Amino acid sequence: MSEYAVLGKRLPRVDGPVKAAGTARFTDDLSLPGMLHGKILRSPHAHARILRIDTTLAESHPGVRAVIVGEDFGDYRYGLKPDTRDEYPLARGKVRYLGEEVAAVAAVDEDTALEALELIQVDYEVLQAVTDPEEALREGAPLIHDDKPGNISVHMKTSFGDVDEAFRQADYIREDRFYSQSVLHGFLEPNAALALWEAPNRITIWASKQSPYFLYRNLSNCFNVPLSNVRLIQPYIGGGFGGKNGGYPVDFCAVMLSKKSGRPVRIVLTMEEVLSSHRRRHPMIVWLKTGVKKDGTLLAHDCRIIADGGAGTGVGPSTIANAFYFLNLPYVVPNVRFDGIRAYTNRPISVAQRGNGIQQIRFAADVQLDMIAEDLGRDPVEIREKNGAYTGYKTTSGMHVKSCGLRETITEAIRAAEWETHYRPWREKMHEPLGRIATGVGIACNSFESGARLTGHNCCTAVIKVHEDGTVSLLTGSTDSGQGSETVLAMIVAEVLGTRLEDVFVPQTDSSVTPVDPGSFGSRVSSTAGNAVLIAAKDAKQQLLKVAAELLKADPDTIEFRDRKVFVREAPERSLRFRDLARQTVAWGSGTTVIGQGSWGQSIPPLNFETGEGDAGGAYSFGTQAAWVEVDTRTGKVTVPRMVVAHDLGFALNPLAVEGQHEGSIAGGVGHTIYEHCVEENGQNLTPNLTAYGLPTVYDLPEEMVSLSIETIDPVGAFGAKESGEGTQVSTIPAIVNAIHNAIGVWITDLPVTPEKVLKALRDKKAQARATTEGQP
Amino acid sequence: MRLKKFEHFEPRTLSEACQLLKEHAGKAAVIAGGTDLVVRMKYGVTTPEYLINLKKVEGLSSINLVGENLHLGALATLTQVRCSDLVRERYPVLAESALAVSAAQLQNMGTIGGNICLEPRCWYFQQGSSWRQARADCFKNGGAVCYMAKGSTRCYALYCGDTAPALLALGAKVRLVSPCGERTVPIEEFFVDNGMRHTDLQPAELLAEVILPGPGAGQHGTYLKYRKRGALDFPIVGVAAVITKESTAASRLRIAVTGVGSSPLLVVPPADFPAGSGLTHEMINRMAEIARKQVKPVSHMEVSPSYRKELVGVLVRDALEKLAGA
Repeated sequence: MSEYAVLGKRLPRVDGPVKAAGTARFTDDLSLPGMLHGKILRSPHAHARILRIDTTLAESHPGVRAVIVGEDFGDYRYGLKPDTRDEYPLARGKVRYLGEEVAAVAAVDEDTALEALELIQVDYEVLQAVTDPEEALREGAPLIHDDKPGNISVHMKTSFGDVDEAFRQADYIREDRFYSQSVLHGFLEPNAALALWEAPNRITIWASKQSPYFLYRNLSNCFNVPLSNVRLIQPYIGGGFGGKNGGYPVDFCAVMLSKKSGRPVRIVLTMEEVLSSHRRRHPMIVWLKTGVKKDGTLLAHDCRIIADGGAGTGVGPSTIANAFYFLNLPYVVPNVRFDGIRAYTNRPISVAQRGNGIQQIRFAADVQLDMIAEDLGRDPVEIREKNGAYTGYKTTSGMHVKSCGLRETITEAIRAAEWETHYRPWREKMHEPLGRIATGVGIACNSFESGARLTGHNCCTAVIKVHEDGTVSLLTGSTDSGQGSETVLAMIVAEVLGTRLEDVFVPQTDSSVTPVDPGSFGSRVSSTAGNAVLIAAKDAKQQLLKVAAELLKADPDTIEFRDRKVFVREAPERSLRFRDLARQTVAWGSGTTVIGQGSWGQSIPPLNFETGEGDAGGAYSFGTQAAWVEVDTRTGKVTVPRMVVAHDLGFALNPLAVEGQHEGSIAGGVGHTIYEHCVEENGQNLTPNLTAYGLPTVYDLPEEMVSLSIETIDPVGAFGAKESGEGTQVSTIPAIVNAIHNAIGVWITDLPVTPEKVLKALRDKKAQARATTEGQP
Repeated sequence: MRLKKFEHFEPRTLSEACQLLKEHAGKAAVIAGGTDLVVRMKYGVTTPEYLINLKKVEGLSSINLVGENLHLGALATLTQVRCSDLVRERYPVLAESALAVSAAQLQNMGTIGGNICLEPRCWYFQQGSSWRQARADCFKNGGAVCYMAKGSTRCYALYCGDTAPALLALGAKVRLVSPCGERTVPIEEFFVDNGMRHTDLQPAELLAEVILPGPGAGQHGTYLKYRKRGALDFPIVGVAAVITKESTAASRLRIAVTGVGSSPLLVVPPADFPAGSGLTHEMINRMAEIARKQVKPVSHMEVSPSYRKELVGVLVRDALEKLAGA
């Protein structure tokens, strides 16, 4: 018998059937009697002063119930930290990107609301826009926020160890520039909110949020309403990936329109609105200088980045900090210097997106590691094994690695990839003619924070109610935005109480009912909320145990809960059904209600946005990926027929869910590497629809995806679990780029890897080779 | 997404449909599957006051053999075309090209007539009204600029239909019906290289059917589509090639390219091409080079003109190599 009755099993997710059947209700499926439809007017300019907004025509349009502009929100601004609050619910005085929200209308139906938008007159004085982050940082560039000189949104400069000395000691130094492009979240449910204002000061809002308690605080501040009066109910969510963390104009406008009209108001963005003006991943330029010893031992990184932040800061400080943290892992780098700037530009705001700053930096560092291996004639596997972090390692910046299976992930990944059979270094292949289809393999490693620790509220809380029929409700503020946490958290309850997964119900987040929670970001739910749930379940079990001990006339320590039964361990015939215990408990003595409670948070200091000293998360996952590529040497097209993931995730709470996460990360990573790119002209997105933007389809993903879990049983996470989602997306990119080099001998350092770039690189290489040959005497 | 108000007609005969078109000249649009038109209407770039729906017209979706010729009704869906035994046995290249269009759902709705008449595309024109407000109108929207080819005096929107090149290569004809009668023209004469008006359809004229000449004793064809993703996408370049044996000593080669101009382009092989014995390696290379030189693409969708030209060469070579091996 396995140690666990429920955990570690491949159980299908509990929200699967309703989603597959189409009966799951998303925000757009909800309505209230008398509900109005809201629409948002957006700026047609990337940078302009608003001279005048005239809403009189729109207000008198039949069917229109409310029109709002920036002034309706007073001076309210929002943002991650007090010094970064630079976003407005509706633009005030100026618009800073094309598509920024300027006014909103609520009307009896969508058509009327759209008609009313056309009746709003806005006079703009167009200002010079700056859409390139390097240009934005130049002296004399147009200023985007008057109080942010130099267009600097975030600047983090830090150093650990003695970098200059390390470079003096280095046998080999390499310096490269990398670029990671603008990528969208790609969730299929557009942002949406249904709000109801009840006088004098009560807000109820159904909104598509992966971290609903951000918005709960935002709304309390914005509308000056006590938190107890903000009721945020979380319907099913059609994906978030970092693009549904905080409050956005759609939420604030729905509430304000409801307040002004006295009616419930629903706003559902169109896909065009989401793709053209909602949040996206930070484009990033990375200059990375790395020093190594002859044998490939890493000595130092000196890294400078410029991130394109768009017109607001959002969670930008965490993105820049993450870029720094993950210069320090997954490899041992004793000396690290970092200068990271996040520039304001007249573009939509960059925020977190599955990996939040870590993809960009690991793409650079892991590709450069392969370049170094190639330059030194070293093996890419060996150089990773040599430099890999290990259990007990503390980075020069103070990150504590409490469990680390990096080496095992390398071993398992190359075993599954049959690396020895397929890999031949480029230097051995380079003199052979390239066929029409060139094949190559590449590997890359990753590490990721398991449970990010932001400033402010950090812990997760769970409440468990045992019903008298033996079923259980789990109240948690942690949101399942599609990652499967509802299933995994319910499995933890079922494991501890000895019930089955189907006996546990997890109602969706409701801020009036469920405990406050930081949110679903930084890969924190399974490990952090998981621990809170574990404590709460144990608490409930203790309460039940007291009654069970009396009923079974046994010492509580000898009693076991398993598969809906409660029994004496050494004498299993002395047992009762869990449901009978639950019923008898209700009637026991003067009557008992079993409510278990637990809270848990990472006991580490908050993220240090200034120096980056200390930990980025409660634990760190590690992983290795091997990618196969096929490059069509005539068209330049790259395909990835096969991908192997080996992931040290501590413990696989539900292996089926883990596979889903790995496959999702591969899809995101393949999209980022090869297919996705917001093409823009003067701040205008030319690809605001799903035909032009080009998310990879099922035909474009690896036909074979191998997912291997390496279990290291972490001392921090619930049951030893660490994150299992975001880390894999991090190494997908360098694994593919390294495989492309192995196939055709060129390094693509500028994402995405378009066929045209590949062809050009091949041609340049040929020309260079010719020039070299001709230059010889 | 709001549609402007329009009146909807469901004529039962072609002549009734033509009559309606004539009555509402300039203000009417013809709808069949709607996969192209409705999207443009939602964007607000096409705003017909009258919609003439052809779905109720009798017999317009049939696929019939008339003597050696195959007649395809304009309303036959792409799924019907690609699943038709007559098409699959006699003109596999056409089935291949219909299968290459977008995805199954669209093939179920979209028709062969609609795919032939597909409006030339461009990512500056096919956008919502608020998007278009951010810049001056282009030719397509009543302005005087083409953003695909700045400084040009015409619209360079790209023709992206997949079935047209196959039909061109097969030597298809189209039967056009109007209140004044009807005419049947080779499909290459039907297309015009003009982003604003890419077919020769006259006012009140309708595309009624496509007529394919018999494949004869030995015909081989293929359609190769290069696109970004494995599904959904319009072609970046599509090449159809058909070799028809005309006698024991002579065969005829026809190649057509889509995605490189405002209409599909027929690439004309030199007179001596191919000499009876079949395609040699040299001939294939020569033909690829001819095709590459004949196309004059503009920059679009992140694809430079030189890369698009290059792709034409690659695809023509691949297609001919495939045919040589068949």
